[in-house]
Amino acid sequence: MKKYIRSRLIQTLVVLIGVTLLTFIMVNVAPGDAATVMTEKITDQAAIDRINAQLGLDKPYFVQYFLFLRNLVFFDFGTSYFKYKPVMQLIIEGFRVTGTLAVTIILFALVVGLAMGIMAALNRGKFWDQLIMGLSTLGMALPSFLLAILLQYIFGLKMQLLPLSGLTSWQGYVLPSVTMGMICAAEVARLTRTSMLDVLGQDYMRTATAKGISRQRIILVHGLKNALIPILTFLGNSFKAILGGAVLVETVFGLNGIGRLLVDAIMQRDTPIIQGVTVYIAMIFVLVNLGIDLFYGLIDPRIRLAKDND
Amino acid sequence: MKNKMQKQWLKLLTFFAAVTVFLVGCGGKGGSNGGDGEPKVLKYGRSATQMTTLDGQLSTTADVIQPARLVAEPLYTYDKDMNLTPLLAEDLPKTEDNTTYTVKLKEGVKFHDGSELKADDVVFTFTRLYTPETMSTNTFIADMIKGAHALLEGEADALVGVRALDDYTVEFELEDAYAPFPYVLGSEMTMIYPKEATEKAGADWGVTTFVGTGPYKFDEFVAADHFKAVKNEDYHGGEVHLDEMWIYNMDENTLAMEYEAGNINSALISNKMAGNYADSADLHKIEAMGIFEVVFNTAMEPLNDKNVRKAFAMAVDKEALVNSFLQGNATPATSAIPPKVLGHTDRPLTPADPEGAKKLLADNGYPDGVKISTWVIEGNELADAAVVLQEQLSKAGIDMEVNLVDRATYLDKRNAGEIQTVFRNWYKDYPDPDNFLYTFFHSNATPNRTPDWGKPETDELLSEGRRLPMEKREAHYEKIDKILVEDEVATVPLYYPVFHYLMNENIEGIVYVDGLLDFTHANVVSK
Repeated sequence: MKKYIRSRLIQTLVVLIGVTLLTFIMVNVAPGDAATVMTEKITDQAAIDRINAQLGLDKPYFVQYFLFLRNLVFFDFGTSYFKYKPVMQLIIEGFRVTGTLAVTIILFALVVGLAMGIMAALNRGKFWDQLIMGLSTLGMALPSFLLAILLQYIFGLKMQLLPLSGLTSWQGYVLPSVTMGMICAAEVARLTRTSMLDVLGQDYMRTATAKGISRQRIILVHGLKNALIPILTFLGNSFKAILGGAVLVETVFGLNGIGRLLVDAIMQRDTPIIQGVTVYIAMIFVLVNLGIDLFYGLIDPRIRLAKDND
Repeated sequence: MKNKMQKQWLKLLTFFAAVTVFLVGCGGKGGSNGGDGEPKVLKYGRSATQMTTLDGQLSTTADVIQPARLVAEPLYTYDKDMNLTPLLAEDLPKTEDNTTYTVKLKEGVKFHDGSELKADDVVFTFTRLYTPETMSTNTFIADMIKGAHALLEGEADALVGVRALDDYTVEFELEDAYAPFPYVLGSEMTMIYPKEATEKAGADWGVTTFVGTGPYKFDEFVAADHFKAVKNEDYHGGEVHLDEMWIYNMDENTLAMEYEAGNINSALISNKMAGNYADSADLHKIEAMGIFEVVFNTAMEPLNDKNVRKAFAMAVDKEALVNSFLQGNATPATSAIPPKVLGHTDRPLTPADPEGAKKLLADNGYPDGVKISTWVIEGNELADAAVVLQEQLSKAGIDMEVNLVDRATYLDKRNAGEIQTVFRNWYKDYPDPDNFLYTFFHSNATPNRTPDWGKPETDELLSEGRRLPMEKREAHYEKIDKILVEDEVATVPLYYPVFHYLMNENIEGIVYVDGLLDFTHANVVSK
C-alpha cells in the first residue's frame, strides 16, 4: 500500500508540473494581458510598458515560468494584480467557502439520494419508484441557475426563511447547498436504485435473508455496502468538481468561492490567481482521486488485494 | 401498519417544522430607520464585480468610485445642475492665464484619523498619482500638470507643477493653458488622501484601510462583496443622518429579489430590469452624462472612404434602436458631445434611409454593398446594440460581422488597431467637451484607442479648444462636433444613456451628482 501511495504521489508531482506548464502557455497565448485590462483608459504606451515591467510581464516567458515554479515550492503564488492580496490568502478564503459548500452538498446528496434510491429499489415498479425516478429525472434536467432562482424566490423572497444571498450567517449556505445538492441527489438516487436492484438479486442477499438477519441490516449492511462503489465514484467526482468552483451557484448566491475567484481572474487575466487556483484544483483532483481509490479498498477487499499485489 | 406509517409521517413533519422554526430565526440584510434606538442603516446594491479596492487612483469604474466617494473627497464637487462647487476648497480655483491655478483650502477640515487637511496632503495626492510605484491607471486625468510625465517616466522625483504655498494654499502649474482644469480637481480620481495614513498603509491602502474627509468612515471591506461605512460625526459638510451605509455587489436577479424582500433599501438596476418596475413609484430614472457611439477605423478599408461611413450613418435607425431595443430608456444621439455639456449641438434626428445608403454605396463603387466587421464584449449592452445595427445595416447592403469576445481580448484587439468598427460608450470624467473629443479624436490621446482618427486639422482645433478661455469655447466645440459628425462622419452617435435605480419610499436625500448616487445627506425615515 505504501508503495502504491508513493507512486501516486510521484504521479501527482508530474501532473502538477504538467498543469502549471499548460496553464502558463494558455494564459500567455490568450489575447490580452493584465496590463492591457488595467490600463484600459491610458493611451500612453510608455505607461503601459512600465506597468508591464512592474508586474514582471516584460521578462522572457521561460524566466516568468521559472520564477513561478521557484515560488511554487514555497506555495507563494504572488499577489493578485486586481485584488491586491496574496493569492494564497485568496485561495484559502475561497476554499473556506467552496469547501464548506462541497461538504454540505455531498452530505445532502448522500442522505437524500441514498434514501430515495433505496426506497425506489425496494418499491420497484410501484408508485414510490415512479415518483422518485420522475423527480430525479427532473432534478437532473433542471439547470442549476433556474433551481437557484426558484429556491431564492420561494424561501428567500416569499417565505423569507433563508437569506437570499451572502454569507452573513451559516444559513447562507442552505440554499446554495440545496440547489447543488438536489441535482447531485437526483443522480445518486438513480445510481443507488440501479446498484441496489443489482445487489438485491445476488445469492448472498438471499443467504442473509435465510439466516434470519433483519431486513434493515440486510439492506444497509449487505446491500448498500456492495452497491456503494458507483455512488462513491460519482460523489467523488462531484466533490472534485464543486471544489474546483461552483461558479453559477457562487455567482447567484453571492458567495466568494473558488469558482468566482477563478472566473474573475480569467476575465481580467490576473495571472497569479489563474496559476494559483489551477494548481489548487489540480491538487484537489489528484488527492481526491487518491482518496477515492484508497476508500474503494476499504469497502471492497478485491480491490485492496489487487493493489497489495501491485 | 397504517398506524406505523402515520407515525413516520408525523415524525417527518415534526422534523421539517422544527427546521422551519429554526431557520425563521435568521435575519436578512434589511436596513433600519433607527427606530427604538437602533442605528439608521441604508443598504444599497449594484452589480459591482470590480469593487476590489477603494483606491480611486487605481480604478475609474463606478464599482470602485461609488464606495470610495463615501469616504474620500476631491477638492470640488458639482451641484445638481453640474456646476462646479467647492468641497474641500474655500472657493473656485483662481487663474489669470488658465495655466496656473491657485486653490485655497478650507481650514479645519479633519481626516477620519484626526489629522487636519493641509496643502501637503494635496501635493502628496497628486504626486502619488504620478509615482510609478502606485501603478495608477488614471494618470491621464491630470497629466497636463507640469512635470507629471517626467515623474511618471522616472525622470524626476517630485511633481513640480503642484506646490504648497502655505498650509492652506496650493498652486497648480500646467504645461500649457487648459481652461477646464478646475473640473479635473472635481474628479473622483483626484480624491485627496492624508499623506501620513496613506504612506503608513502602503499596499493595504484601499483594501484594509482607507481614510478621507468624507461623510462616512471606513469600517469593513470584503472585495467584490460588500463595503460597510459608518457615520463621520465630524463631517465638515453638514449633518450626516445615517449611522451605517452598506454597498453590496450582487448578481442582478439576486439584487432585485433582495430589494423586493426588503433586505436592501436601494438598488441600481439595468435598463432591461427596469421594465419590470415601470409602474412602481420606487423606480427612478437618471439621464447620465455619457454617449454610446460607433467610431470607424479609417486606417482600414472600406471605412477610409467617407462615403461608406456616410452610408453607415444613413442606414442606422436610432429611433428604432432606442424605442424598440432599449424600450425608450435612452435618448437618440445626434451630437458627439452629450446634452448639458458645452458645445453640444441639438441636431434634428434624421430618419434612417437604407435605400439612400445603398444608392450612395453603389454610386461610389460599391454596387454589391460592403463587408465590415466589429468586435464587442460579450454580455455588454454594446454587444446587443451591435446585433441590432447588424440587422439595420443589412438593409443598406452593409454586411457587418459581429464577433463576441471577452474584455481582455477586446482590449487587446482595440489597442492593436484591429477593430474596424468600434462600438463604445463613454461616461464623462468631467463635464467638458475636451473629455469627449480630445480623448478620442486627438492623435496624442488615441494611439491605443482604435480608431486612431488623428487628422492634423482636428488635432489643431482640439488643442486650440484646450487653450481658449471658457467664453470662446462653445462655438469652437460646436464647429469640431460638426466636422466629426456631419462633414467627416468620424463618429455615429447612437444614444445618450440613462440609469435606473430603485429606492424605498422611506429613503430621503439621495441625489445623483457627477455620475454617482450621493449618499452624503441620505436618510431613512418612518412613513
